[in-house]
Amino acid sequence: MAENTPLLKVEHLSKDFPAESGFLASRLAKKVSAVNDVSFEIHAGETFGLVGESGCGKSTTGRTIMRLTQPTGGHVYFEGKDVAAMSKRELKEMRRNMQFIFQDPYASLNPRMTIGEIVSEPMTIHGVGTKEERMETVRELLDVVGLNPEHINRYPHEFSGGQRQRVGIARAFALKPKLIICDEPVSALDVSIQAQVLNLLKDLQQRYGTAYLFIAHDLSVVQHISDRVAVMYLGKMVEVSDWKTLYAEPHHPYTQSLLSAVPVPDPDIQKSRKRIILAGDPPSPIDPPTGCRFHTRCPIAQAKCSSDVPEFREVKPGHFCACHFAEPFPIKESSIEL
Amino acid sequence: MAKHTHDYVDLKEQPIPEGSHLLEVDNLKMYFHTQDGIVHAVDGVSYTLDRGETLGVVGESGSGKSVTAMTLMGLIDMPPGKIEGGDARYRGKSLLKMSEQEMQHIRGNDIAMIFQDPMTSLNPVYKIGRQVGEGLRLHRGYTKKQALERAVELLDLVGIPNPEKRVNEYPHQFSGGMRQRVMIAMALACDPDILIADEPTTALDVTIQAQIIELMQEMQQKNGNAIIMITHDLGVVADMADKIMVMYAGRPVEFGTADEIFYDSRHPYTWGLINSIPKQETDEKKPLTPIAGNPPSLVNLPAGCPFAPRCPFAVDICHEQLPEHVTTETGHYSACHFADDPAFLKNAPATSRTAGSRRAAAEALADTAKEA
Repeated sequence: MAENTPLLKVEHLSKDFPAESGFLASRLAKKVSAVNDVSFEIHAGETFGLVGESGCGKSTTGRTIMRLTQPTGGHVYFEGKDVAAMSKRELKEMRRNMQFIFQDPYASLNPRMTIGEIVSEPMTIHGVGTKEERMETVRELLDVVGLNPEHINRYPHEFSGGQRQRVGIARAFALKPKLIICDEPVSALDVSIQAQVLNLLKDLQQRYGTAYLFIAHDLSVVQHISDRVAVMYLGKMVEVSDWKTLYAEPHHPYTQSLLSAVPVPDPDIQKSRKRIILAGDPPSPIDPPTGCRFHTRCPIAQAKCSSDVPEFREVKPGHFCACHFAEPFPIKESSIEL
Repeated sequence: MAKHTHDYVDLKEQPIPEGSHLLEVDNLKMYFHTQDGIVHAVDGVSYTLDRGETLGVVGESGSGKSVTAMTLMGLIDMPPGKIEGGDARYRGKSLLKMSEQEMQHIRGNDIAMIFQDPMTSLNPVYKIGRQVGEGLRLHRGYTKKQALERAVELLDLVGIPNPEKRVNEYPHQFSGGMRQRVMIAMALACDPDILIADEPTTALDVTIQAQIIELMQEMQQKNGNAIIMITHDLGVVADMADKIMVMYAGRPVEFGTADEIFYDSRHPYTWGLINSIPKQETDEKKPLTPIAGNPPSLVNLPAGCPFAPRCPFAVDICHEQLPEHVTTETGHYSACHFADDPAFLKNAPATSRTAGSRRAAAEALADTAKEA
């Protein structure tokens, strides 16, 4: 792999689902456009945050990268190799380097397996070490994620939600992967436990140099953990930049309203903030709005927005935004005072 | 359910007795008696609430915030639940001593509730209009037609487009945010004195959450009702609540005005909560300071302060003795042995107001104490 090849490169990725099931479904033109023309890169050791509201396609993006579902358009390159063109054997090898942490620590652990079996399963599948060596690694991993290695023979129901999420994290790190896709890893946890898990993920990243694709709906969590952040709306990426710029100078009106809608736990700041409250609900992805998909709720939409799809353009070096009027700040007067 | 009996006088039309508040909860205790032992679900909750006020109840899952509200509403099955002490008075009348029939007049009419999950708290087989108007038919003796007409008005009031058409639709035809608006319309149908909202925005996206909070505040300004806002998110109560109660392991650990809780907090658990929240920062990121360990099981509560095993400041006395409420003259109380120790309070996290007055005052106090 060449020096400057990104670890993961996603190019014009699209995923449509048939809107109806049944044998005629593929012939009917109705499709759910879950992900549409999404492109980004993740470099080794970096955390890339993907944020958006429910149904915006952020989880589908993660699943398509891992080829848990087949993309309907575009390419995903892992270490320069096209994931869609991989043979079964290559795919297995790739998945050794790309692991997943799931949202629900209750549903993602098999209740009939012990913690030891759960954490060692990826190593068993990939034939790493002998059984004794694997158990030794499991003990080490449990210790690293802050669980008692003596609990190796316990079952998931004996653990709390936060502890279970630590088990899921230990499993993801078992093969020392290069990239971990974290799909809402802390949203099922209480705030005090959430902070523990976020700190743990950061520590592990420093220790093993793993890159994260961090998918979440909570902007403050994403900001805290990410180096770069992308905002998605209705299957489209609307803005990408480094975390600092995105929060200090959001360009896209959707990013601005999303940031301003997050309640700040400080009455003085919260009361003095100007807030943009978006009207209505996000439209259905079955028949997404023409032009810019955000124009139906956008506070600054103009005639052009409903006819022309905005280009995903670089507004500043490394800062991309898909809005016709992104520059200068369209609603700067009411932008967020942080 | 029994139909409205016309000789019944609505409690909310009676004046509040001299010297009492709209709602007074006084050292309320409700325990569950289970096979595994006694669960101290609500353990000594006290607060007062007046019309137009908003009380925020903050805590993590299992801290007893929802159970407290359900106890007030008489929604806890007894047994296994049992009131072990204390009282809850609404307009001077004890809610705990009311008969089931009296409670039915209270629920929906005087005190209404909005639940977390708008997907499961609406009946999927009835039209929206019928569900919104149900309370009016029950408590006000409206006819079917009158109730439906009022339902249209209510849906319009909470910002649902085309209310004439939508009253004839079923819950599955509504989005999550719209369903929560329907729940609010339903709760406000009988113009209740108190609206209890149990995590009303937790299942919703952040832009929809902002809409719902704004709607609740707007409705409160119009109707003058009190709100009890139950949430795990300190951000939600920051600009909404007048008073905040922080709960831990079934007990209120701190109670005060929003300003007191955010800028003059006197309990290490509240500090921990504030420190656990990632801040929106644009200069440098600081690591989070989580609260170590896990919340205790409510069956086998440790002796002493329930927060002691997770408290970074805990000393011997904390593990041995249950702290009393330390109350200031403004009614701000904290269940911590050291809540009136100015030196201890310096451990509180920095806020947007700090460096300023309180810290200086605390230091001055400590100095004078030394001199004395």
